[in-house]
Amino acid sequence: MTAGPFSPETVWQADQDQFLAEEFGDTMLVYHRSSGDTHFLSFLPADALKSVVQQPANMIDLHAHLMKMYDFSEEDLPIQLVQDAIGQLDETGLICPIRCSGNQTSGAN
Amino acid sequence: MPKNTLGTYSETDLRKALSAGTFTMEAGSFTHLVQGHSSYLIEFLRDVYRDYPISLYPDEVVDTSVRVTAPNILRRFIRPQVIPDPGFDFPSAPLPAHMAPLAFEMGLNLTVALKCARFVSFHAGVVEGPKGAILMSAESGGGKSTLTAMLMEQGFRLLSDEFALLGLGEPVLHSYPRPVSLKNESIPIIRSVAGADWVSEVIEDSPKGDIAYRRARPEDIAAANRVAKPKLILFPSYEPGLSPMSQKLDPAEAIMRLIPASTNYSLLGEPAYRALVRLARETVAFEVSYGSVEDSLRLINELYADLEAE
Repeated sequence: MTAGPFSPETVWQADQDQFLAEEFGDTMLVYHRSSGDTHFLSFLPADALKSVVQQPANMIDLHAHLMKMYDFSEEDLPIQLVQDAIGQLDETGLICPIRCSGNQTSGAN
Repeated sequence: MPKNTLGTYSETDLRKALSAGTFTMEAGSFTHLVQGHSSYLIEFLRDVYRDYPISLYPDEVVDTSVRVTAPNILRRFIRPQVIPDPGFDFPSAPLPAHMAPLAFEMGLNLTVALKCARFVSFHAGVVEGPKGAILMSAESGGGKSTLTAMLMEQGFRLLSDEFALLGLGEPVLHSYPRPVSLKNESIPIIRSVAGADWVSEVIEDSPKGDIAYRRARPEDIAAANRVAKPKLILFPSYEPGLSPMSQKLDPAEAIMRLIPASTNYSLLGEPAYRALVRLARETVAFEVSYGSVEDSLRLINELYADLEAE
């Protein structure tokens, strides 16, 4: 399901119609309609997902957005954590690079 | 019109209807069509299912069909064997003829596990007390059936020992009060507290060890059409000598642990997800581990007492 290697400049997006999400405190339960899989997300990938639904972003912009949202420094939130979260979301198919949006839409239909 | 219970019919009538394939039995949410020639099966039904409403001349739609039959004509007469035939292809190892009750129970479980789409079904025990229902989901050997039977002795109503049936609309649990399947060392424990009359003969040396069934009470069967509100989800695990411990689970984590215990989550997809989310909103979930029946009951009673009253 992964889009393959990605760079810091890769712009990620998520289609809200592709999944159902329910928040339980700091965690989120997501049902992915295309795969029928259910995923358990901790707060970081959950917030990353919500963020790219609102506004597609690359890893650097997403990192900056999340640091601002949590009021964290780079030390509190190393970019590696955001990279890991993106990797996990990519693997589940919940997000994809902008270039793959056509495939995702056709797959859903 | 209310149906007569199995115990009111003669062995001859039952044998004739079972052979002809016209025997239907109501067990809560399901009506089963049952067919078989085995004397062991008839004896088992007359004992363990004696309080269930049945019909010998069915005139209604049934939910599932189970045949307890010989794997081939030879094995009907020479060193007889039986297999459950749930009405669809499913590999089953033949069992000696005297294990027909086990084949019957396995057949019923298969039909509900693989053909039920009206509910989200989980491999779990469910009982109901004054504050609502407890759903217990455990790995094999986790002590689910023993707990179910022990909680019955404390006055909890039996909804099911094998399957929790979660509604696809309202977050309610539907009843399927089948006999509680007891294994090995739990048999004498339950027999001592429930009374010998409430536990079947032991089927020895089955593929799952020694097995006996704790009969559902007439009041459990009579209340089978009443749904229960789930309040507590437990994931019990038993290991001899283990100190009792409970740990509260995040609702989302509880759902993720229930999904593998579901027999039809993947089949139902989105409606099942929505039902599980509603379930999580109504319940609290704990992982409980213990090393004795006494510890498990004390732990569960404490958790149940802490629930808010309706």
